[in-house]
Amino acid sequence: MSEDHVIEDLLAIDGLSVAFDTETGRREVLSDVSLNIGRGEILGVVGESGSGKSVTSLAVMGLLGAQGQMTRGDIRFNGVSQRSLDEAGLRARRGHEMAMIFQEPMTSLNPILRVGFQIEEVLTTHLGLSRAAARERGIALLQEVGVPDPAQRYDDYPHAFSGGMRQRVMIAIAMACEPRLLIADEPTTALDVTIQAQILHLIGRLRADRGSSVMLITHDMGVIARMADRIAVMYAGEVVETAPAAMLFAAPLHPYTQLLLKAIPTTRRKVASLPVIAGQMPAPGSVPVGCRFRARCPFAAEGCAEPQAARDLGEGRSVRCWRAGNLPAVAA
Amino acid sequence: MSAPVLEVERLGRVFSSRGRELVAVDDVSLALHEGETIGIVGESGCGKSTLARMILKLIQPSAGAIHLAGEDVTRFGEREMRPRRRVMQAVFQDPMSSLNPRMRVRDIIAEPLRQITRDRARMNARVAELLDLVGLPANAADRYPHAFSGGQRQRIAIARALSSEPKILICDEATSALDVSVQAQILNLIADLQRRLSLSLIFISHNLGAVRHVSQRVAVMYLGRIVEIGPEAEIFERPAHPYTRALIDAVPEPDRAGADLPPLSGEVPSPLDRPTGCHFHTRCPLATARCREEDPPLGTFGAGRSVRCFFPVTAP
Amino acid sequence: MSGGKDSADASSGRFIRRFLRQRNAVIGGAIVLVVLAVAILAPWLAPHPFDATDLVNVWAPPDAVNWIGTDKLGRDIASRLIYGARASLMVALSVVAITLVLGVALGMIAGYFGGRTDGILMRIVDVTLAFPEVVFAILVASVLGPGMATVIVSLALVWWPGIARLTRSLVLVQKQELFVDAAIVAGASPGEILRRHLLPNIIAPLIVRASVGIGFIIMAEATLSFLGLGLQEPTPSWGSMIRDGLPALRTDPYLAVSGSIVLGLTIIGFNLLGDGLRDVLDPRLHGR
Repeated sequence: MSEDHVIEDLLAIDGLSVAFDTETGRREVLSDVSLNIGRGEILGVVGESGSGKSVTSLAVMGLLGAQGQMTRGDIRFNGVSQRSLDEAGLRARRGHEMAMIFQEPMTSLNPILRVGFQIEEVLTTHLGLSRAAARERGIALLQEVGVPDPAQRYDDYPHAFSGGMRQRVMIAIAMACEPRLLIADEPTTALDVTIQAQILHLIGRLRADRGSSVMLITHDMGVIARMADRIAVMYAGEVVETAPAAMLFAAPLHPYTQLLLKAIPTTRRKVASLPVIAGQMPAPGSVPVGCRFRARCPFAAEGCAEPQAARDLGEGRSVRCWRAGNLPAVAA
Repeated sequence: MSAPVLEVERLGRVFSSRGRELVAVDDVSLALHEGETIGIVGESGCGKSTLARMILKLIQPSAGAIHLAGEDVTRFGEREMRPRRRVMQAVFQDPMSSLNPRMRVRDIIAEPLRQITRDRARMNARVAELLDLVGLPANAADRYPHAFSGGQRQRIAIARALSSEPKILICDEATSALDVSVQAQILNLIADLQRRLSLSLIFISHNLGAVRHVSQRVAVMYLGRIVEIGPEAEIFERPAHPYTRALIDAVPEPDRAGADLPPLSGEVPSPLDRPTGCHFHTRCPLATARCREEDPPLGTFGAGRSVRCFFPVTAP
Repeated sequence: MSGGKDSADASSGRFIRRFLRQRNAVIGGAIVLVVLAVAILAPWLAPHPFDATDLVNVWAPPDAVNWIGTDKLGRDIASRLIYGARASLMVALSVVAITLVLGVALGMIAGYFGGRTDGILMRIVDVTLAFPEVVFAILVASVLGPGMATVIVSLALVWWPGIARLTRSLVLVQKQELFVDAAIVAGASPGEILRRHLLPNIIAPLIVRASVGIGFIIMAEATLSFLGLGLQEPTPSWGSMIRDGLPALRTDPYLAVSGSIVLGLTIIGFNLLGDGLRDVLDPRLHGR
């Protein structure tokens, strides 16, 4: 590939494999994962439980822990390879250049510390602000994320906030140091539908106002459709398909993506029966050689026993299936 | 129309704590007929779980009446209910905690049968039959719940619910803790079993797509009350109550063409301190002075439909 | 279709395997087994009768005949230690059995039914806990006279409230579980719910508490015997032997020291067993 001066992606995950040491031996939980997020872009990472999407986000943040190892590949953030950073370097980055929000704001906010204090912590640690300056900035942040009466609520404890409000606080903490990358791991899964709509709206607005990139991880295809510019579909520790959002929904190429989209009951119409993906996702340590979706795929054939590499189809699309593009339509 | 298998009239439940009153359920009336599925949707604090627990007689109602197969069971205690329980069973939300981790699957499934027979042979035969019905292998009977995945455990829960051949099944968020592909399997299973066994179902969920898929009629709850009820096609395609509209609009879906509609503002008010007049007026884009002062009753709105609103939306 | 978990062995097979992997459990279990064996086989193991006095040979140091020496009446210390195991274990196991049966039953009833029953039971528990064990022992001894029965009864009286309180809090938590609701909906009676659903799920922490408690009970028996409220002459108990040995500690330490070592080792054994059991029993619930 020619080395033109390409505006480098903010985040480039390149052939990443991650394994965990467990009681029963080493288990590979991510295999050859490649993802890119451009500046100001929202990448949706979608998959069911066990697909490896959360581990991917932990790897990016450098939070794999003592048991997790990056066995192959690399993660480059803003041009800097993760392998070149030690713990101090990673810590300096966390909360400052990249930040994360989680599913359960109840457990990610410290219940015995005032909300304001938790926002200030990030500001004083990374930006070296004085208490007073941090407080002022903190209140402004609460305002920006839509918490009413921010000056008052600044001194409240987490339990005084509803689920949606707590998630806004989490977002305020995450955005405090104006990170280039916001990782949101199931940020709205525990919230009511109408509150979810508000939070997604907020994330979209923050992206537009600040130009942050977002890695949005979820199992909810609808949320992905609403928010993502590009989408990566994960299955059993691999990325099986990536595509610009519109293309993925208009013409999904990987059989798993196709079936997953059909399996979702929609409010738009009533079908007699939902197409079912028989069986279960293989767990780490029990993955077959060859295509991992093979046992459940209606299009499985001889060639599927071979390990599947991700094929670059151009236009930002890639698929990990040798038959993709040449499949008969899935029966409704 | 034959008599309903389950009927609740103006059911209500209030929780008192430290002098304050929490109105969890208020003036809920439903009639469930044979072979029918009523879906109940709503967000946190709407009272749907409390409603389910009252119907199942796990807690006592503060107001109203419950009729089970024509009999008034409102005031019945545990002892009177026990022999009547075989007729109405439940599938709960969390497959991890709704199965006793120390019991074998066989004993879990056979539990409702103990009211009917203690004959081991008969019980084992029925367990085998049920495992087959829900698509689990026969050897599952001797194993413990932790050996199974979430979807499989929910199948076990369904098998248990069906073992006494109930007429009524209450599904309280039965698919909410499951992955998408597993959810599809379980929804299909429930719909299929309902058809085959002529079950009457109450399907409670915050997942509107799932509710639409299994229900013939749908009730929408807000702050303890039913704000709209009607046939599923009507509710989803021509929602009349502003809250129903907002709820459906808020669901993000792959095949919803583009537009980023402004989300419903504000939060659900606390059930400890419900707004005056129409409870939804604090967030309703169409609220008027009348809505702030007067409390709309549940009024008829076309065939088989009711809406609790002074200004129900008629255009789709 | 198995979801990757191990095949359906008998769960007891799995338990034994897991038990053997736990170092604490194995060491503790071995010690306990040895003490049990000694207690049961005492008549065959003891080189001499425990009450054979030899006033010519008092406070003798260890030699070929008396391996640990003799006490103030010339009785063989080793034999008395061996027979002493019987007394200690008899007391410990009886007390544990009584307190478990009584405490668990009352604790379950209080926890499950709540209300006034709970209130009454908990007040009784509070009052009982206010009394130190020695006071109970003295009261009971004044009725029954000193001896094994006194020790057992007074220790049981002292210990059952703690078990009841623990059981009650375990039940309070477990009865919130969804499977209890499911059992009610399935038509189970309160008795069935207590027996089939709650008891199996609270038994693990109770077993652990009991095996750790045995250590304390043996100590308590030793204390009571030491005070003269427990077993009487010539029946040996480790406590009374230590009591007798302490005045002569400076000149003839063998009695007190050997008694203390044996007592200490036994307590360590039960404690290790309790720790090990806790680790073996609890993670099982998390599907490992």
